[in-house]
Amino acid sequence: MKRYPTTETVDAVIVGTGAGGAPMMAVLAEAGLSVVALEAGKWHAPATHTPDEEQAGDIYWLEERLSDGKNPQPFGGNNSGTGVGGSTLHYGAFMPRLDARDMTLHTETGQGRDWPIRYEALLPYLIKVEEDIGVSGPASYPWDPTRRYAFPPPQRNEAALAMMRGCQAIGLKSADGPVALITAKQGTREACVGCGACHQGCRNQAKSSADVTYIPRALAAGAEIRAECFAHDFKRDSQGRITGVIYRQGGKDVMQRCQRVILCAGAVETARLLLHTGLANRSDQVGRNYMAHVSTQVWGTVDHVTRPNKGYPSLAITEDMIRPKDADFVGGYLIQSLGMMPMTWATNVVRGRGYWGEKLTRYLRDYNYAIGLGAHGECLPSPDNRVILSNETGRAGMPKPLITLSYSCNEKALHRHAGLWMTRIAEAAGARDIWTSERSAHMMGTCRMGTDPDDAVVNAWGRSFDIENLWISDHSIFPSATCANPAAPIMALSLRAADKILGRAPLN
Amino acid sequence: MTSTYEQLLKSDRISARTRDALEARAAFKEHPYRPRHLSDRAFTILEALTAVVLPQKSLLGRKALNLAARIDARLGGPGDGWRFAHLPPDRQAYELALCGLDDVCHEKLGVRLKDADIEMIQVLLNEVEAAAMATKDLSEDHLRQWFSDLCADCVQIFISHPSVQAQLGIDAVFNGGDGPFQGFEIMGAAGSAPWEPPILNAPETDA
Repeated sequence: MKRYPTTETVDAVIVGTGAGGAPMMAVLAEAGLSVVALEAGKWHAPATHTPDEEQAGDIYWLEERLSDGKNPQPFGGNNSGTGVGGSTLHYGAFMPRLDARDMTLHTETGQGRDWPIRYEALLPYLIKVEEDIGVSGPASYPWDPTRRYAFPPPQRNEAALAMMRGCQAIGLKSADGPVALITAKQGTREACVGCGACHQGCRNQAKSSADVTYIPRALAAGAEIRAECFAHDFKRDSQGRITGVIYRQGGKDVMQRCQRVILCAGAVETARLLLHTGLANRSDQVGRNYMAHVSTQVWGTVDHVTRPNKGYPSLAITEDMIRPKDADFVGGYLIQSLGMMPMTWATNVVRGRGYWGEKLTRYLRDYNYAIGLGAHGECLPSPDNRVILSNETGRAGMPKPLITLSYSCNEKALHRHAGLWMTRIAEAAGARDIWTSERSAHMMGTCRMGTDPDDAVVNAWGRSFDIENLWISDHSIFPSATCANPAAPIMALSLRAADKILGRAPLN
Repeated sequence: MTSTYEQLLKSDRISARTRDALEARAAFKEHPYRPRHLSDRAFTILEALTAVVLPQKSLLGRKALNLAARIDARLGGPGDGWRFAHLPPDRQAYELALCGLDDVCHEKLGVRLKDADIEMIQVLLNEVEAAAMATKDLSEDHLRQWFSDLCADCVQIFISHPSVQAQLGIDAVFNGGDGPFQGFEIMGAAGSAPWEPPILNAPETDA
């Protein structure tokens, strides 16, 4: 790996090496720019990941966050990662494309918020991401027959088969979903073997996480990654431009000089850093409009062994609920099948079903007979759902973040609808003892993009309105949640912003 | 642990790192245990509560895990990345909730919680769960949130233990070794491969 002296003014410092930082790093380095990426976590060799859920905590962001609101969101194992590759080390790699309607929800319904980018401008980048990292999917995608995937889908586990069975019985379309993993060997990456531990880190590099896709490209092109370096401050010149990023490494503060900074630390950490330094917040929008997908789950028991830990966890998909006819809410949701590792499942049983005592002990026996379904649904932006700084000190002296999330009527209605329809699917698949768990997942918003500097933090390219050499490339810039998993649009926006930085003038 | 499960732990279907973690978990010295993070008083109450939150006899017989000891040990660790904003840090929340519940138990039922029988504790916990009980330091809602944390800690520790996984026939950790990375080939309607551990405690079909 190439190394840059901290006294050299590099072309770009990238903060965070996940879905937002890694594509940016690769594209800028390949164009000949000098790039230093700061990563708060460690390097992990893929082979050292473990399916043991407690041990796998080393790829989760475990610095404590404070969760508030009527729907306080769990962090740690659920939502935020650490290590070179960021949250893509633990992400589920479910890779549906954004739906064009979700990017113009306000035009459609008068609620939510439109994106300042047209779907047609983003689509080429979504396709590029799929080609770059390796995505598997069905030969013919029912909701978009023009779509092509480079790899055939992995083997269906019992949850996927049950969901397809249930959907067919009640007249919903379903298919193998688009999944960011490879099903045939490619270079040093092996084909998926259905080990089921995607969320604990992929050991044979089949999952298309950043550390086995964009990061090797970035390193080959001369980018430097500094692991275990936690950015917490900036140096600025008299005009307010950023001239250096200050980070904590082994207890000491170090500064890297730079021409520009790209923040890719995620919806919580990017907002936290900007709030802590007081930068880029003329609009008072930093930290606001925090969104999490309505991720309702439905679980049931079938009469045959399912072993929910086996196989790619969430293969089956239906897009039939992106705009359901009987909706009493705006927006929509995707449904996917759910396998699950035992500790995550058991935690859901406690927190989502409220079981304790003998009925908990008894119900744990159902694990190997369980099938699950999960939704990801629209979450409308609200200024009161937000990230702020708490009054407790965290890493490198930065206050711990406090995250408030409360469902509005729309999220509540969507949750009820999703619970009802997934229960119908589970019943039709032959499940009994069916229960619904209210939960949210993913983190979005807090530094939204827009066209009005008084109402948004960055412009439609991800560049700060206030500081011309500060960019943000992660899901904090999402103006709305959409119902697609965030990794693909984060990567697509990252490639698009990189083109803009390089003066390639992409479409808008 | 069952002999099949022990054989699998020695097999090439599990990595050395994962095997070491499970062996360390199984070898945790829980008897006798002196609390290192909670006070003696709070720890005694925690022992009484964990027995009610997650009764183990039907799965483990007399070889129950000391959940209170493992929770106390966990309270010295880095935590799980988040906490409810209105609860103090985990160790302090446990201390306040446990001692507070002891006082409420004494006021309401006339006994100290460590001397209360299972039914009495169930009555208390039902009220906690319904957000119908507060302590000196924690409101009804905050005590309920702490109780959710307690239940989660209990079940996470329990289901991660190799003896419990052996009883339930869970094979998640046998998804591939350090040499050949086997994964799982047999799934769905095809059921289980011959090597997979037997499920000793199947669901009760009372539906």
